[in-house]
Amino acid sequence: MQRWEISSTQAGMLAAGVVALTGHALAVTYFLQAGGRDAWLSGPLALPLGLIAIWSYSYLGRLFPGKTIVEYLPKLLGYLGYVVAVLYVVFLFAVLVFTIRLTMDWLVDSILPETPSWVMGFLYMASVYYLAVLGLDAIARTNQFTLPLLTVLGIFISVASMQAKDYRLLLPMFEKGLGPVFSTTLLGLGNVGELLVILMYNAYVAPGDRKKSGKAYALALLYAITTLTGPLAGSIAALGYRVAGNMTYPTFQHWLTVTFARFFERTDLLAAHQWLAGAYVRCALYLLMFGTGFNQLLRVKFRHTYLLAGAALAVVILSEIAFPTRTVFDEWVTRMYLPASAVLGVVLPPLLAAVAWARGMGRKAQGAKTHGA
Amino acid sequence: MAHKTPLPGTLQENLRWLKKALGNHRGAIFRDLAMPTPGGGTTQVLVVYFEAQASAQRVEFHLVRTLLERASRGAPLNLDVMLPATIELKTREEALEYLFRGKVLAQVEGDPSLYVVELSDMPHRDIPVPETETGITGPREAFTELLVMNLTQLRRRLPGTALHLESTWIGDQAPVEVVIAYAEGRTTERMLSEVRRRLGKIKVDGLQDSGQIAEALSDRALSLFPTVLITERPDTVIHYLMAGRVGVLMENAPRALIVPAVFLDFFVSVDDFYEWRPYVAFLRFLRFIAFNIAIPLPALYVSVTTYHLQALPTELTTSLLAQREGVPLPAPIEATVMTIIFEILREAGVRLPRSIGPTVSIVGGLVIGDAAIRSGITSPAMVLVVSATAVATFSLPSTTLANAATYYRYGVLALASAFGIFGLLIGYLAVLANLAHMTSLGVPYASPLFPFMGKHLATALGTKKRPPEGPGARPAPSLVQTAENYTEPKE
Amino acid sequence: MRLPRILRLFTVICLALAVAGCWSRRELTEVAFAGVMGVDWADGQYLVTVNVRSPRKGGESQAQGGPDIKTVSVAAHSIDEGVAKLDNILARSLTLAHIRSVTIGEEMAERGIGPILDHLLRTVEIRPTVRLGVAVGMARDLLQARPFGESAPGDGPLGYHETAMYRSSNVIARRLQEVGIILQEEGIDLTLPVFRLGNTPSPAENGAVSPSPEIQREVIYGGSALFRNDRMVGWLSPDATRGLANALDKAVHGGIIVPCKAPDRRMVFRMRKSEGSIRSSVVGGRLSGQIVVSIIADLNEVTCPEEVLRDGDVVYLQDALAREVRKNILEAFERACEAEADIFGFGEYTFRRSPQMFLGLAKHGYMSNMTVSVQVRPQVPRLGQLYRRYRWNER
Repeated sequence: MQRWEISSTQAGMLAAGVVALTGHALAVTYFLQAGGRDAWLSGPLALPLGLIAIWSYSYLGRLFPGKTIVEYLPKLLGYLGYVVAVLYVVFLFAVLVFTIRLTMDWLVDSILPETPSWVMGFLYMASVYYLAVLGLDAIARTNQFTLPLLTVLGIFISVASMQAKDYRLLLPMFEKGLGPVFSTTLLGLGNVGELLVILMYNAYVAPGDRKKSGKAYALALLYAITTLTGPLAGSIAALGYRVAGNMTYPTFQHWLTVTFARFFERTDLLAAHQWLAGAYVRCALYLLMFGTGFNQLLRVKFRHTYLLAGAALAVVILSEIAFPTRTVFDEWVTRMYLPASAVLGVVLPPLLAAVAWARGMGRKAQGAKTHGA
Repeated sequence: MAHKTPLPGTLQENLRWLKKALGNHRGAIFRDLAMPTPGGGTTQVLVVYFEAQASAQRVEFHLVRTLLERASRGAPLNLDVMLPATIELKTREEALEYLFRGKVLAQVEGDPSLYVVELSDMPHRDIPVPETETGITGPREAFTELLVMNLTQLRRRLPGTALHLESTWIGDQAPVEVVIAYAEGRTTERMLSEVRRRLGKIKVDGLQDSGQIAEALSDRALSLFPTVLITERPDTVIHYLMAGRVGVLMENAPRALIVPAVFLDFFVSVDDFYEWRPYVAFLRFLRFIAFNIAIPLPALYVSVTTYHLQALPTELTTSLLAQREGVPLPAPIEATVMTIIFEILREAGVRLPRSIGPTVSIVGGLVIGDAAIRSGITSPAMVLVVSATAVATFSLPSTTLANAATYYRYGVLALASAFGIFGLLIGYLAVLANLAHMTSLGVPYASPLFPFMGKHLATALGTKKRPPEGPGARPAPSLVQTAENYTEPKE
Repeated sequence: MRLPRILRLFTVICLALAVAGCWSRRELTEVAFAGVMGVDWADGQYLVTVNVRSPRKGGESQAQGGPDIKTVSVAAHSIDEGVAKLDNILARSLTLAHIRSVTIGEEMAERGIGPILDHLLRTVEIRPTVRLGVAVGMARDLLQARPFGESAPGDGPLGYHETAMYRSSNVIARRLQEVGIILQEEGIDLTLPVFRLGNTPSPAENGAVSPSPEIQREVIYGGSALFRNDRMVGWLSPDATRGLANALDKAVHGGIIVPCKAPDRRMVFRMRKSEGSIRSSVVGGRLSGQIVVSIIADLNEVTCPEEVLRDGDVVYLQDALAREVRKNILEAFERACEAEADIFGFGEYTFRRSPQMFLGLAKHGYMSNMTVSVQVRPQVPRLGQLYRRYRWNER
């Protein structure tokens, strides 16, 4: 058990910071393609289930203080627990592949056309690896700096782009019925499900702060939903749902429409900052949690320096070769990644909480002394 | 101090071993005095000191004449009761140590003890005006090399038992005295014991300046940012002590160290303590912006003109294009070369004597810059960028920080030269991670920015000052209080 | 943490990559910047034209006559192919990153601008804020002409676009992003500003077009082009465009010239603020539109002989203003009905509220049997520095 300790504020901010990017930049196309004009409803509609999921994270965290989900799944489900834990660890790795693949694609398409994407992936993952190796507390602290900065800049852009947005384009609602809304909400749940990383790092919240962390996570969920709905609605309002849904990077294009006194004409550098800085903490956290989970799963103690380096390298390689074309990648995302995220992050934890409650672990834990660091 | 050789009991033997130890040492003065006593006899008195370290005049008046007068009256010559500041010595090493530090050794025949008398007058500088930390307002005293004078300056500013000065010795061959200073009730015991532990771990033959201790006091982290604050002003030291830090002073060192020091401390200049508060907040913000310009500006320029031409405004593009016609070097190399030339000019300006140094720097800069532009080796925009960077670096109050910024600037420039804005961002994020991870004596380096400590942030940014409340309230600290080490004083 | 060793390895790799790479580097001196682009249709192919800037050599002083601009055209079967061919012609590598306006030739617009938009939206270099416009005749000629008062040729339409806000005749400037939206939304059709050469009569005014390119001519704004879906089907005069702008809530500044009773005398108002709203409803199987425009204008010039400034005459002024604006809007509406292009967005309004009803109407084309009611609410709060018309000694 490592000796990191983060406060509840830091924990909440971490949750907010790591999921924001998905809704903002990574998954917007998929939402638009599934939901069309009504895609922006996916955020608010995912909120209730998301809240239940967050509550179950806190509950499980209270039942097994100081333990990550990989550690207490076997206690809950026996041997089945190991299998499920493997799924969680693999998912943490999948998040990295998803993020890196999309980020590198976008970089090559929009910012640096000639540079090979594996070079950029390698450099980026090296930087991410550096932060991950420094530990959870360093990640939390970095996030405390980048998250406010990114939020402020994001708000600035969304206000500045209002001149180009026409929210009437969001009407008429439900033109194609409820089907698209339903499918985007599923994807929205997938977005929220990425918060499952909380199940891993919640173990390291300082003991005195554990009660406050539940509220922090709920706020983080609200933040995540806002950053999902805002750019979605904004892209539809700025570009029209058909154009936006046809674009590979709609938020980025939407940002490009912001001009500022005819001087600050190209916001793509700002967009590069937002994207890369937003993905930085996200990748570092998932990488570190993957390494921790990996160690815990196999009951080994590989040193983080080597384990994470290997994982980072594997991410770069896999994100390059595992999906030969964009279409294959899109299929993987919509058919496997986001649904898996929804199941693992939103559906399963409440079930686990129910199992734990049914087995009376709640009462046991109240009597027992807290174990773990 | 390794061996402890006890002193021989008689004056003659003391004289003998002292002569043997110091015989070849120029400047040692042995005065074997015969004090006439009433009744015709003489009492032998031995006085040993170094010339120009003990005041010959005071030796004469306070020691010799007094002894003479007493001897002639027939009174007993008890050195320990009648003379100022005498200490009885036990070992030879002690004796030599005091002698070398300017004290006077004295022994009276018949008395087995060798005494040391405080009559020193070590040559020293007068209290100077601060050289690097000059301010417009505020006091103008700086430390000197003499530890006792420095301690006096501290005591003047924080009178009373609130100021604690602990002494310790560092160095095997040539031990030097080091003093730990802290204010009562403001530091935690943990921090103090950590400082003591680190100082105790230093294994050197001798030290010449406090900068050599600074490295030992830093936390081990792979970074170029300074974690120890070095200052030459006593008022600054007192400010930081009141804010809960620990100060370290050393004999022969005109600068004091302050630990722990966090990132924001290096943006504080002298006038910040004495100037109008809102203006100070603005200035600190300005310096922070300067820091953020000083590192990435050449990299940003290179990456925008080479990789991201679409980000330039169109009119600027045309004029830049006109400027870069005929320039042989590609932009990244040009940027590197120009920054290096600038650094060389700066170094040259430092080395030259004060009378011609600034002139040569200015003239050199102008002439070289102009000639470089005219001959087509560089473009005016590049010179502008490099100068702006240099000016931003100079506006930073702490030279250590400025040096760190220079290093990072080259690193980021290299990354941006190869990968454009992507490289720049990678470098920036890595530096950010570094800052987030560093600690100074256990306190996170980037606090109170991150981890966020709200109530300390306002004082750190200079926008808020807590007024003293009620009689006997302590003076409001005006700096970051590192949260760990601030404790409420017990009333 | 044995970081230093890994750091060393990493630094070596980084240096290797950096030395091998710098893949996306483009030195400023190796790049040709295009400021405006023109797309024509000629002989079964696209004709792509760009204006390339090259700076004057010399380094220090700039702007002795401004940048040198050359116009280059090639024919190709698609725009990107055309750009590639241009890249081959030019000595430096062409970049479209600084293109600010794209002008589409008349024939190209009649053929349909939809295919052009794919390339424009897909490349990242062309910003979504580029302005689009239509040229009378060939866009290439327009790009070669010199705008009046400027010493450098070619940026003809560009200046208009960029200062559209300040113009006295209302230009409805369109950016690429807007065009992309309009073309794919239901119930609204596109208008693009039209530019012509100085000695070419405006087709919006008399319908005849006779281009004959010469050098040193001026580029003039000539109203708007109406599109149905993506094809150009008609023209609007500048006055009608202003009416449309008022209705669409896009009018900002500009003068409104109102004729007096005497045939050669005029009143001129300057718009200060104009708000327009468009509604539509389905009445008896037909779409019926309502346009409401509120205008606040200042009085700038009065040459009417009648004593317009008597008691109660501000009402007269306001009425005259309202009449003129109404006339403009109706003219635009008529043209739109003729061309069956719903440039006002009546259909869109209905679509947003009841899509099924709109789709039912749209199957048969609703513009031809549409009715509209136009209501203009004028306000003239100030009169300038004179009360009455200036009277001179008329003996």
